Amino acid sequence: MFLDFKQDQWLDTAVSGIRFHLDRKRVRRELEGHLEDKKADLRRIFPDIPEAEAQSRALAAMGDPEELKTALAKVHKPWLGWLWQASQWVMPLLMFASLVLSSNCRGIDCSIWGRNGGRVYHQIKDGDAAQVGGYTFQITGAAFLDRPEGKDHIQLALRASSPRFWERVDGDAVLAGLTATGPDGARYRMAGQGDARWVGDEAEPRETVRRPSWLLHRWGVGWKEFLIYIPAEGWTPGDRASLELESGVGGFVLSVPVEEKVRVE
Amino acid sequence: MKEFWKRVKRFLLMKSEDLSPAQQKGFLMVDLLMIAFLLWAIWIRLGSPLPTAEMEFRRLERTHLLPRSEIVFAGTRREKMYGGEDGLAVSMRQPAFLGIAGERVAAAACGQGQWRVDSYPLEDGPTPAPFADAHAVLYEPESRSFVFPLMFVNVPEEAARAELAFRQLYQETSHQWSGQGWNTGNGTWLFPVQTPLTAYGEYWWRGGGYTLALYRADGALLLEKSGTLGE
Repeated sequence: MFLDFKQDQWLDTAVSGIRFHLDRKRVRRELEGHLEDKKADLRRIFPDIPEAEAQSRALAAMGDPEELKTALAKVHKPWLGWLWQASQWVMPLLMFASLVLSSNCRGIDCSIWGRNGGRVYHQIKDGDAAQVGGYTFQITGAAFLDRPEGKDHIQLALRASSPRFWERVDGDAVLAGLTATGPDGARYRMAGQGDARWVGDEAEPRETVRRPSWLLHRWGVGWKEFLIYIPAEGWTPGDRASLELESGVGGFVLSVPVEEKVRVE
Repeated sequence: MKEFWKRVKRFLLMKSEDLSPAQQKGFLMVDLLMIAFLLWAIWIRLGSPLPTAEMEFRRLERTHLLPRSEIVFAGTRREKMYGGEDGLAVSMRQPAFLGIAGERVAAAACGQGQWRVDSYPLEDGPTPAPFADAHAVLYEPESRSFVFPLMFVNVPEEAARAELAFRQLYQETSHQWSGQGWNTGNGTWLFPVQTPLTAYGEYWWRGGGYTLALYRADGALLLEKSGTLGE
């Protein structure tokens, strides 16, 4: 018992400089292992050595506990240990909070990515792009939709992205200033005042208007993609469709040849 | 495969004190990255709130493709009652901003946790700049009530007193209100309009007619103007 006390005292002194308790426990265990190994070595070399002497020699061989205490304190910084332990608690709490908030999440404003509906029938890489107000607008899809059971449309996909990933553009604000031009030159305001279809300078009455439509297709980190459907009469492959934006911070005109015809049932 | 699952089990059951400092550092880096990701995801889930209402307003300008404006009215809910000598006072219930850029005025307010911004053309003279959905509290000597803070911008500095008459046909019922307004600085005035009893939500005021009368300090009529809100 006295021997244990002396060994414990040595070990406690040696690790007392380590402030993080888990590190202190682990290092104490390691030093204890080293001590036992040294005592075992001594017993092997001197089989008749008394236990007290084996312990004394082993402790002497391990060195001054005060010096070891200083050296270990320098190596084992407490902040790393505390941070490690805190992260073990914080992460499950945050995962739980995230799950709870996910269950209450309704709508785009609270989700990192998602889809709303629709599909891009023909993707375009390197489509026309323009920068307005810190956002990059690019046409990412264009196709003529041949609907045997309904009206034919041209579908354009427009993506708005920004490196400021926490500021996705407002869809209504974009569409309020957007005008689409079909292959026959007809211009369509996407929102607001444009109830009529304009052909040149003439306006047709609302009853005969085939209106454009749009939907928010999908979104991700810092971007949104919209699908815009323009009535398309007399389309031929290669006809161009364009999107024109007017806003308080600038505008653009993006144009794309519509080559692809897709049959939509 | 068995060996793989044995290692996984050993890993999952490993105690913290069994890890070497290098292993701890490695796991800590992974944990910190995951914590950062989770904090970001939670921030998105909460609607990406910003620290101050003014930062929210500036973000609204950017996401709505509006030019950066000069803020002429900032109601951040922490102030500031606009009070008069008659014992009446009004304070905003939620953050709201008015900003002027060029020939347009942006009106933004946070109603029911959602920010809305509207842009109106600046008219010749006083211009109504109503918020989509906003509330204020009108404090009277013996009572208080919730009102709609109808704002006007571009009001001449010479105006010492302003009176507003508002009328609307809301859900086939005639609604009228008239009263005085408060000078909220920078050419902006606030009128505490009583809403129709059944009116709630955004843009209830659309189509309502108004007559604004401004008076000088000596009581002489400075200006009178009529119009329709939301046109």
